[in-house]
Formats: sequence, C-alpha cells, structure tokens
Amino acid sequence: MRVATSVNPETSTEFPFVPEGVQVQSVQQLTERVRALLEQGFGTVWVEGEIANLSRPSSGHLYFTLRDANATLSAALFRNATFRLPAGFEPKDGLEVIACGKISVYAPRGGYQLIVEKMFPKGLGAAELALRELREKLFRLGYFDAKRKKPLPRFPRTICVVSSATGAAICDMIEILGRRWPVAKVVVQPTLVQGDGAAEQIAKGIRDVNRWKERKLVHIDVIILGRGGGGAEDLSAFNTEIVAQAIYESRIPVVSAVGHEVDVTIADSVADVRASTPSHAAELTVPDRADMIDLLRDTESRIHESTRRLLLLAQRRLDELACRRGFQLPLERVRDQERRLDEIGQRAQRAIQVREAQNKQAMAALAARLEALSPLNVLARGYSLARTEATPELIRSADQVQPGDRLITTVHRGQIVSRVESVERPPDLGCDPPA
Amino acid sequence: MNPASKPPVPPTFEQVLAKLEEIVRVLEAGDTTLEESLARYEEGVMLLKCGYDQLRLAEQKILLLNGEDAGGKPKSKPFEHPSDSERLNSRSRPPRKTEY
Repeated sequence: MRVATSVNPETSTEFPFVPEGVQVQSVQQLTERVRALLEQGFGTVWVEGEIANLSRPSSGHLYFTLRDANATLSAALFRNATFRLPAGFEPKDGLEVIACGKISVYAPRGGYQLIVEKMFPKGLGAAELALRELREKLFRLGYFDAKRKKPLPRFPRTICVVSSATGAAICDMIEILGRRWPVAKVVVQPTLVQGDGAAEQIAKGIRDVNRWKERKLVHIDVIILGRGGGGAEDLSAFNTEIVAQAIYESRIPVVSAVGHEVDVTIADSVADVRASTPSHAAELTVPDRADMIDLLRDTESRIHESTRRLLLLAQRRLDELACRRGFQLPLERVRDQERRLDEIGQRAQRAIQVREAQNKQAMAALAARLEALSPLNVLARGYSLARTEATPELIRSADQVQPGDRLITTVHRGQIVSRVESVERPPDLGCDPPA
Repeated sequence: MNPASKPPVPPTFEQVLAKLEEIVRVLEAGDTTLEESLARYEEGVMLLKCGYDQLRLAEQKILLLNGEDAGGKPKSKPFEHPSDSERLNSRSRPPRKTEY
C-alpha cells in the first residue's frame, strides 16, 4: 500500500525504483522524527540500574551505561547536572542508582539515550533526599551565590558568637579570640544547637542580634555561628531552611563554624565565610595582635627613617647653598672688614696708652708747680697771714684795722687770736694819693 | 545621654592604622614642606603610641546575652562557662602585662 501523504512528484520521477508517491527522506530528517517521537512519547522517566562503562572526558560531562540483567541504556549526565548530585555521591561503575531524565536521540551515533537530570545512589534515605531537595531549592534562590557574600570587617570591635554557651567549642573560640585580638568584645548569644527547637533558637538568635543592631541597641560587626563541639553531634538544625534564611537575611556578616571538614551543612554554604572548625572561625574573624604590633613597628621605623632622610636632605641643601660663590664673597668681605677693624682697634689701643703716659707726665709737672705756689709753703718759711675777725679779707695795710679789733693770724702751724693795741701808719712817701 | 558631655572618643585601631598609612605615604613621598613633614611626624608618633597602647592594654570582655527586656532592649550579664571555672578565674585577673 502506498503512502498517499507528502508525495513529491519530482522525487518519484528522479528515482524510478521508488514506488510512486513515496517521499525519500534524509537520515537526518528521519532521525529528527524518531527524536520527536521518543521525546514526546516518554517525557521524564525514572529508571533504576547499574552504572557501567563510565567515562569522564575533560568537558566535565559523564557518559555511561545503565544496565540490568537483560538490557542496557546509554546515558549522559551533563556538567551542569553534576553539580546537583547529592553531596558526597560519586558515580562509578557497578553502583546501583536511580536516575531521572528524558529519553533522547544522539543523532551522530543513531542511538537513543537517557539524558540524566538527577541521579541518586539506591541506598539514599528519605532525610538525605529532603536535604538534597532543600539544597537544590536554596541554590536556585541564590543563597549560595558568592556575589552576595559580605566581606568580614578587618578589625571587628564586637563579635557575637551564636552557639551553645556550655559546649567545648565556645571555650576554644573565646580563648583564641582573646589571645589573638583582645581588643574586640565578645558577646555570646546562647542557643540550643541540637534537639527540638534548636533550629528555631539559632534562627531567632541571629535575627534578634540583627534587629538590635538595626535599632542601634548593640554594636556587632560579625557573627560566628558555631556548633557545640564534639564529634558525634547531630548537625540537622544547621541543615534547616529557617536557619538558612536567617543567615541569608543577616545584615551582619556570618562566619559559620558548624560542619566538619567532610560534612558541609547548609548553614556553612549560606554563611559569608565558612570555617572548617570553631577555632578556625576565631582565627578568620580577628587579626593577630602580634602581626599588628609588627606592622606598627614597621610603620614606626618607616616614619623615623623617612623623617630623618627629609631632615638630612634639608641640611644638605643648606650646606650646598652656603658653599655657593654668592654666599662665599660677602663672607670674605666681612672677614676683610673684620681684620681691618682688628688692626684699627690695636692702633687705637696703642695711641691711648701713649696719650695716657703723656698725661701722667704733665700732671706730675703741674703738681710740682702747684706745690711751689702753695701759701702753706710760704708760712713754713715764717710768714703769716692776718685778717680781722669780722672780715675774711687778709690784712695788707694798717688802714684796715683799728685798735681793739680782734685779729686772727694764720701761721705755719695753727692760728693766733690777738687784739690790736695801736696802729702805726707808715710815713707818707708821696707815692700814695692823699687820703 | 548628652553628646556634649561625652569625653572625646579615641580613634579605633582601624582609624589609627589608616592615618598612619597616610602619614607614611606623605613622608615617603617627601613632597611637603619641612614644617609640614615634621608636624606629620609628630602626629605619627602620637598615633603609634595610641596604637601600641590599644594592643598592650586590651583586656578581653565577654558578655552573655540574656534575652530582651519589656522595652525590647537586649539584656546581658558576664559570661560564665560552667565547665571551666579555672579558666574563667584567670580571665577576671587584672590585665596581663605583655612585653613587646
């Protein structure tokens, strides 16, 4: 029976051996129809089997075969889907798995295959599955984006530790914070870390601190979220959506120190910084005082050294200026003048000495002459000076006294007081004018 | 609290470091006047003392938050660790003198 549809007359005439009315298709065309049929016919399928022939090319995609006792199915798990594999699940040959995906066709090989979107080891429990679903959901919401993670302050002044106040971890953290950076205050926001209500308390603890900070009732720069400590601890509280949300919404940067090296909780993934242990968290949060003292010392020597250099430079510039000819010339002139002044000074000194000697001689001569003229010397020779008591005038003429006047006569040694008995005038020699 | 009655707030360690970095930069560039450089140097020496003092005299303070009061304000009390009274006692001693 001939197929009546999609007749191509040209094709029929070109190939006489093709029954009339039949369309010859290219391999690609046919393959595309098979692909459409398979993809629409099956949709998403879940299939269980064992992994075989697993290959991991450098593209990051995984190619393998799923098989059971009687059948095999080619499968591909593309790179973006590998990120959604359950944590710690490593596909390998021989592993029994349950895969979920779509049946499709790989045209170059002409085979059909399962494009795997999710895959779980068969032994995975319900709790793990739920955790995996939550992780996927939060991943889609952008909770784990590196872009939204907040940087930690370099020098936190107050650190809030949200953790059990009685566990071993808190002691370690306080010890390390105190040793490295005692400058920072530590406030402990006590919470349960496991058991009923733990997740709610942790979330509330984070939210309370944020609310207080928004109302400026506390000053907190960074939150450390820690478990209680001890190896066999139940970390499920840190794998809850409510805690993840509280961390995600915290305006204060959160350092998480919850998981162990191998066991990363959701809280660890959402936190701005993840520490491998509580001690590690304390180290990441604060600088080391010893380092800072080294830094200050370094700064100190740099400040001293650069200032010393500036001073030396200034001094050298002054010295250089002083050596210039312009400064030297006036200096030479000044020195010349100084020498001349010195010479003049010495000459003046000599002149003064000579003058002094001359003056001394003149003085001695004058003194000798004065000596000769002194009336006292005349008295010594026997002369005397007389005056009346009434006047200081010396008596040179008999006319100056009357009988009865008291006379005071100065002699070489002492005075004589006497009375005039009589006055005798010398005879008129005709020389004096008549009285 | 009346802000005017508060004593002047000493700079935080971060501020001290930032100012010191600026001073070192200016001094090492050497393009200011000698007077300005010496003033910077003096300021730097004071800041260094302030920084050293903060590190030397620091004594860790630990508080335990204790819910909030009726007004929504956080309450706190000194932190005590039940399993480690010895360590706690060592913390309440006067500040350790550390030699540098």
